[in-house]
Amino acid sequence: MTTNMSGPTETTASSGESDGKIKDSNLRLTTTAWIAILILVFWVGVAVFAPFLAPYGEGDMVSMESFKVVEESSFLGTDYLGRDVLSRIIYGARMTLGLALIATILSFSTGIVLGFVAAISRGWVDQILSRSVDAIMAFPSIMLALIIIGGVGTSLPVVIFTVAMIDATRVFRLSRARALALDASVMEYVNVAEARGEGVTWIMLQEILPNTIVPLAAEFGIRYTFAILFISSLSFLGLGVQPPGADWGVMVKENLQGLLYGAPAALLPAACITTVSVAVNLLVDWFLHRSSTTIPGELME
Amino acid sequence: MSHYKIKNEISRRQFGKVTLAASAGAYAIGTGLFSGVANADTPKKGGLVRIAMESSSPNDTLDPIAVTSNIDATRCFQLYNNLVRMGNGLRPEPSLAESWESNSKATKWTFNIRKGVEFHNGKPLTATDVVYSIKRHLGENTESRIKSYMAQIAEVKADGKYTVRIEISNPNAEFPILFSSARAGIIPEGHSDFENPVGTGPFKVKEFRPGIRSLFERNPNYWRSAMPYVDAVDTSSIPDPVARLNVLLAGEIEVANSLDAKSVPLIKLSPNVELIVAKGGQMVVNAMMLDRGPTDNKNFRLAMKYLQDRKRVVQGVYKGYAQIGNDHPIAPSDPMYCADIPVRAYDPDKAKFHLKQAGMEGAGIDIYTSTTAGPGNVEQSLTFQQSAAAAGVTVQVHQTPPEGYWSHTWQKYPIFGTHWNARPTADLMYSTTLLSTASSNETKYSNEKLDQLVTQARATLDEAKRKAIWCDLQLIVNEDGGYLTSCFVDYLHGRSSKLKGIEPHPMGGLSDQFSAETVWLES
Amino acid sequence: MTYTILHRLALGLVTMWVVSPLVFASTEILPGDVAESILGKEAPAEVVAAMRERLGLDRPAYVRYWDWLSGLLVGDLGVSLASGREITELISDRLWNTVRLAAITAVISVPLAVILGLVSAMKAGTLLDRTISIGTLCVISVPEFFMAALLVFVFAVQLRWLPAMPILRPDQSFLSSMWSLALPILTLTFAVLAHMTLMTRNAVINVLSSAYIEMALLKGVPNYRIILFHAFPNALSPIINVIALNLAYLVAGVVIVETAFSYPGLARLMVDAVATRDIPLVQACGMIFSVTYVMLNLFADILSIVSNPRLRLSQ
Repeated sequence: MTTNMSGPTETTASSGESDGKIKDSNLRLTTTAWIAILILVFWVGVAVFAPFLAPYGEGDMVSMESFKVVEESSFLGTDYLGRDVLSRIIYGARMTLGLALIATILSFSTGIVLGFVAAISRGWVDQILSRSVDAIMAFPSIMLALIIIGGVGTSLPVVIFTVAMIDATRVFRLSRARALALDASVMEYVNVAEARGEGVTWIMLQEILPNTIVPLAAEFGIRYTFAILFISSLSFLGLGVQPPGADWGVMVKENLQGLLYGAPAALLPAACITTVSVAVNLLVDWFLHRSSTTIPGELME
Repeated sequence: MSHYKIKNEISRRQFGKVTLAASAGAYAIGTGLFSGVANADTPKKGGLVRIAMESSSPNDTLDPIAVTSNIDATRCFQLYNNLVRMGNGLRPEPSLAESWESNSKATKWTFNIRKGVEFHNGKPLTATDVVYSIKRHLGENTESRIKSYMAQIAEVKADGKYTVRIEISNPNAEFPILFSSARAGIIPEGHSDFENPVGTGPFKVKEFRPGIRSLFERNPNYWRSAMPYVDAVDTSSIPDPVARLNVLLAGEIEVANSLDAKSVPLIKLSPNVELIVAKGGQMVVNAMMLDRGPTDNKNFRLAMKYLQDRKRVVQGVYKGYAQIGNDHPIAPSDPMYCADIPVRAYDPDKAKFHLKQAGMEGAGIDIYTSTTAGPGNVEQSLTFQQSAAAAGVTVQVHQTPPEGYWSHTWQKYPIFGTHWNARPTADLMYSTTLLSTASSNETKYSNEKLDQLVTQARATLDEAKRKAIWCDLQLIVNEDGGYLTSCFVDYLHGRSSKLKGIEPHPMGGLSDQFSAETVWLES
Repeated sequence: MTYTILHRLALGLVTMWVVSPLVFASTEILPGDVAESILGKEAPAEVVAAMRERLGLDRPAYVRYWDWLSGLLVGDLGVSLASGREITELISDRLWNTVRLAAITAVISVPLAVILGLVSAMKAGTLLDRTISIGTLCVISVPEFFMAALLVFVFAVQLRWLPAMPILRPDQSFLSSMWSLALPILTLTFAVLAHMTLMTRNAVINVLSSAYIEMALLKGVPNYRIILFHAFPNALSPIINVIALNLAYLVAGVVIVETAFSYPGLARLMVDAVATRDIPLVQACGMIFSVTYVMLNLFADILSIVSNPRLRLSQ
């Protein structure tokens, strides 16, 4: 699934179809939501305090042997280059979660702004934006990344920019569709606001955003996990994070040989990606249900 | 399994002895034609050998002069023969040329062509075929990959049916070795259709799909009696190293080339797979450019050289499958290697001293590398970063995308990663990278004395004297050159334990080790 | 309705038109060219220059774009720079491989996803629903190359049940090609299953909240009938859309799986072509992928317009 960036744009959106606003009364945490939050808080903590938690630096070669578990010094073993797996996972949390977060925030800010602009202005602005976005989406995202990074060179800003750009097209589609689908009553406010001479920014912030926040927030969670997986795919193709930087995707890739004899170096980073991704999705799921579930009680067995 | 392993170890050691004996002895011609087969068991006939290699490109070719990748070279060795074969001990052996001799100046060469050899289409091999094949490399407009080496040929002509006479512009004692290149395969006169290639080799084309696979079947009229033993050879591309190893472990292929040193422990655990280790001159190094700062400063270069922890690179990156290098491009396995020059040790103090001399104590050092810059180059650079950090020197490693590395990163920064496959001779290594006129002089090294010594060595037919000149040549580059040669990386391949008769070749991918003419399958 | 369909068709054509310069331009930004990449690093500069001239690489970009586009319009994809072969010939084999893998995967994964999604929706909130959701989430979160390596290790290396490398021969029977493709199919099925399952589930549950379903409930129609005959048909539109997206992914996005299994498909051809800077080949593959995407989406749009009772009646 890693390269399928055409994520469930419409999927999540549809759950929030009937009402885009948060109902505060429903925001009570379920057990799964608690677990999800605990996992995320744990990883954020690990990422923030990485230098204090990690026994070694992320590039330190502590042993000449690959995939070797030494009880006292590195109990998760070493990676293929004799570096401590535990330390790299800890630093990797920082890189993996941070990179994907920056990319997702970037993609959302550009995607939402452009999507709303297209929805408000309609006409040729909308056509130009929509057709360009369609054209970008029509091109396989991993190929696009391959070409951009191949052309511009690998560096963290380029990786972030590429992922953000590809993601932004999906966000654009969603936010444009959401804004267009707003109730007539909301659009009336928009018209009134326009008549009052309010700026586009004001309209977007005051009228459209609050009414589309639920599907967008859900999308944020999903995009975030896709960004993590996408960056790991780039690493598989040798275009991701720079060495000796540790990224979970890079770690899976570079230690793949170790998988064949069950080395933690290959298995653990993959497991870490899964925990984050599942946690984020559980939280999104809970959020959608609590904010707008109108499923008839009879069917909820 | 252990039984065969022991046998392999022995044969490898024997092979080392043979090499030593040969280099100590006279310049023998015509010996060891069958040295490729060291296994004492009787070969069995029949079966299919499947080989998976790392290179994959839609423009795979069967035209020898256009060979670029290991898989091209392998396929060409399966289809064609050369005048000369590069022996496993880096000595020329007869192939389509039964013997050869030169005048005393090593400028006029005569090759005696083997009689009774037939092409796949039934046409008998004669001197005119050889002349035609050689002439394809000559001239202004040739797209031959070895154009610059072939350019030394001033005249080539057939003298009767089985003699070829060649005159070269400057003396060259090792000239015949040039014809062992995969690019120098012999084709019939006038042939130019490489969709339907014709050669004299052990196999002929049955099916060829560029970038995917080739299936070649046994040539029943092959001139080496009883060979090839197998009915067919299938050569396919599996670029991903993990996939290549998996397919070998799953028993779906018999040979996987170019394995990662980090998968060695797994191969040792697997009873049905054996490692083929070829010690050779494969150079995976970082190079420093002498035409720009900071690497134009000799003290700076010396500091860098002292910062290499060679043993750590050999152990940590290559798990011991490498020979220690000494900052020049000649490997210890090469007959011309000079053991008298002490190997430079890891010495942070000397490094700091030279940095101070250069006035660059706080200089930021950047290394540009890529996964395509040779197996383990990125890891070598990371190890260098660590060794340098221990001496208080900060090194930044930049990994750039493999696509476009050779056009946009290589030779564009003061320190970059580079990769050279083993060359058959020290001369060819220097002519490629170090002569001031060399087309791939990546370090921009220019030294009149070096140029003169190489010319002098070529004209020296006496091997002991030639070796002495080569010692000087290695010392020059060791002290002054731009190479950070921590080690020479062994070629690691894997084979099914059922496959016999395959010997490691020090020239790695560009050798004929996967021509499959000597291999056979144990039932 | 006819108007809506025609409108979508026109949009699709415009998109393809916009794609062509994009594909061309994106390949232009790649550093290096095919002459350098074919000849390798040892080649003398004059040999490279000679080859560049022979291949027409020295002409300005807009001239080459025009040549390419006018060829494209008459169905001529041109000649591969690296191998000198006709691109149509190079691609046809690979395209067939790609389509075969995509088709078999789709035949397995689409019905499976829809069934799982429906079951999930019927049993929404139960343990079964949770298991399906979390199970698919876990599968979706594993990097594809890791999944591929894991499956190969377990099923090909350890158990030796399935082949690790798909070997395709023209004379192979359908069943034996299924067999040799088993592991790539399995990996891809895992990759697309979760997305479609979740989509089906959410779309159906969403329709369940609408007023007329509540009417049906009040009338006492059984749950499974409501889901199969009332909710599912009305949820088809988003389901068809997500299936189209995933089919497009199976054609164009499988480069990781093709690399991990050395499967000679179109995506790997394109990656190889990018590596050798064989621009006409990159462009041809890029156009094929884009057209597939646009066509599938168009098809999905039309299908959902036709299948949606409200849209069908409104025109």
